[in-house]
Amino acid sequence: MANGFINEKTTHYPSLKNQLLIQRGSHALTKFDTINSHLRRSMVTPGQLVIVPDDSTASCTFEEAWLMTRAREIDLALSLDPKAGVEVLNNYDLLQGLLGYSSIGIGSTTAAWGRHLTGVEETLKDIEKLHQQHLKGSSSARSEFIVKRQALFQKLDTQLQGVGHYGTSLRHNESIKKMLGISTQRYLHRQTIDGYAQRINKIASTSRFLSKGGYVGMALDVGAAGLAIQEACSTGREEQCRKARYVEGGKVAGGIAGSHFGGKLGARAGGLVCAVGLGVVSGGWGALSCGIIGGVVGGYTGGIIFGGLGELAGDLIYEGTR
Amino acid sequence: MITLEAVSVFLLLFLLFFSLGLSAYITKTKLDLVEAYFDDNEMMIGDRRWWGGKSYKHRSMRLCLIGIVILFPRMFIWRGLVTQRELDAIPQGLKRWSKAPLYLELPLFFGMIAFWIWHPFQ
Repeated sequence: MANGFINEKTTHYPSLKNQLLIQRGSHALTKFDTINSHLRRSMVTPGQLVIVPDDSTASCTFEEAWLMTRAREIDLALSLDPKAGVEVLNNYDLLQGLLGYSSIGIGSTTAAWGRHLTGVEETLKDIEKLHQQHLKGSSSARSEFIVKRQALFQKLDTQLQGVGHYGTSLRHNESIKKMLGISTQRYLHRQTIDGYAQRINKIASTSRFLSKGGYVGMALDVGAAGLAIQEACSTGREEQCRKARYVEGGKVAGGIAGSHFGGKLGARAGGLVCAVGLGVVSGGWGALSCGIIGGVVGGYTGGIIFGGLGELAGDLIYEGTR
Repeated sequence: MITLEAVSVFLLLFLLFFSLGLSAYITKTKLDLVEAYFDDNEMMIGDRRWWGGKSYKHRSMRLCLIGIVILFPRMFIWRGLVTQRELDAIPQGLKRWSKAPLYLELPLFFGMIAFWIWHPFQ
């Protein structure tokens, strides 16, 4: 049967073809180019639908025709907005929603998320280590290996429960082995885990990025203020330029301090309302989710309120010095 | 001209920056002392799963929780999250330091929420 998948990163077309068709027969080989006519022959960009043809027949099947129509639609959408491909791949990620707020209050909660992701990364590394140890050892230890691996999978499963999979690039609706692209049989035959190191790297970089989320928000705020000042100063309006320096400066100082303050207290208040008010286990998933909601609301509110106050203060200072 | 608006704006901003500074000082100097009293507490151990880092951010989050526990002990005792004995063991001076930033932060925080509801900056 034919199937398709979304290409995750920019790939060389011939190598993609070779990878996919390595164990397929001649039918698939002859059909591949025709069916994937929407793909560029040099590099395949992220977000494109790649169709793996049906090997059983030389003629085009119904599924292949259906997939080709979808692939064309996707290709058209991507040609209008080439960056959308990467965005589509990431759209399930919580990161996108969090960064939109661009304030450091959110950094407080994303730091905790980064910590969680580091935990997931460690479990994955443990699984990898276990596989390596097993390969070095004798086959009599096979049952022990399976039991140990089962325990680690269980741990990973707990870590990825509910919202826990966000940012890990591991989808929660499939089995863990499938997500990781590993199975005992395949591993023992080929002695490699496909895409495994890539996933670990991706999770590690996401967790590093998330723990820096606050600084990204801060940089965005400062950058926005800089742009507003530049805009006021670019047309030779001295007074507006001077005013913009006070007002935007006040706004960014108040906004950053306020969102830090609001994020901290909001995350704590949210967590405590759930832990004390509702009896959710503190330190668990429920409390963290409440904390994240509190942190987002608190950070956003703090940023707006104290940013507004800073703006007012800047305006008052400007009026005072005029 | 000094108006009521100007006074309140500068006062609020001063309180914000002062509370941030005070909280930073206490986080740096007192957190380790007070945290030692909660080493066996299950809630605090669980909390360190998310906020166990050495960075200022994590430390200030932990101080905030300890401050709230010391300020509103009954709530936590009622839920069985801390015991009276654990709280009694902490010296009075350290308790005052731990909850001091909250006396500024909580009114500011609730004021902020109220202000947001009534008078959003558009």
